[in-house]
Amino acid sequence: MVLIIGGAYQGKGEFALKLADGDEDRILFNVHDRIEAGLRAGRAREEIEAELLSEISGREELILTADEVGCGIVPADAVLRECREVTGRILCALAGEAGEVYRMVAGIPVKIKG
Amino acid sequence: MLITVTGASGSGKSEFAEDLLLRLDGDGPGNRIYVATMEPFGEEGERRIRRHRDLRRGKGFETVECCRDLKDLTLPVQRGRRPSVLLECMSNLAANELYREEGRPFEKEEFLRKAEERAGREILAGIERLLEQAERLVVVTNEVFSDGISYDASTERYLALLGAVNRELAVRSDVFVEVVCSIPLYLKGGPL
Repeated sequence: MVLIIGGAYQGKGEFALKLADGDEDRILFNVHDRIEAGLRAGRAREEIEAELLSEISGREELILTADEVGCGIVPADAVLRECREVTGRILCALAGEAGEVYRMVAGIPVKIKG
Repeated sequence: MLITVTGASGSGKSEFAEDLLLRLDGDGPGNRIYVATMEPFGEEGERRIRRHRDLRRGKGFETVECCRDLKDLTLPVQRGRRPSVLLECMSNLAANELYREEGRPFEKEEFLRKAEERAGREILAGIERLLEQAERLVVVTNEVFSDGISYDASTERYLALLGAVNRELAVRSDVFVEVVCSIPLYLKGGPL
């Protein structure tokens, strides 16, 4: 599995499509949105994390994209605060499983693992 | 030796910093000091501190609390040896130093500017003081600069302060690491 992280609008999706030869079925876009939706639906971090890990299990062809969301002032809103913390932790777990991790900066993929 | 570890919230920087210090030490427990800078505000703050304590358990750290006035901190010496020190987190220390007295005019630009200067000086003097006492020092700081939001004057001052402290730490550090998704990126020196 390949994980592509980075700030918003850095070209993660485009790079994912390139790696996947245009095959969208191989890509899970915007994993951070799923994490936030899960938390807002009242699900626990562990449940969301386990679901994602089982979804990627044994699927080496998969490519995941996710925003890095933790590089700001701690939000005053408790739900937002939890979202960014949990997103960070789950991305750590996904990066641990990934064969390759890229960090996109201004459309430039920086390989940080693999 | 000074090592600075930075990273986003939830990036795994604390765990990395602790394990790095253990790896560099190669010592038995009892010669490692954790300088905790966070004031335990409310239930969430206490939960956060508990999580960090659990992470450190079994790693042989003695915890010393220091929420401000780092330069007055005298570290305990054990068996006549200089300790290995982990300071966490610079983002808390900077806030505690900048906003150190309640009821002060933090909305006034001139007051804020002076408070920022004073806090920066105090913090860097504190780091020097720790370096005099420690065999090696690992400072954990925080990447809080990239959310694209403009804040009120007092929060902007805080960002300016922490940014300046981080830059100075980077100049002073032998090794500067950013942790991204638990992956260490060595931006200066290393890899360790």
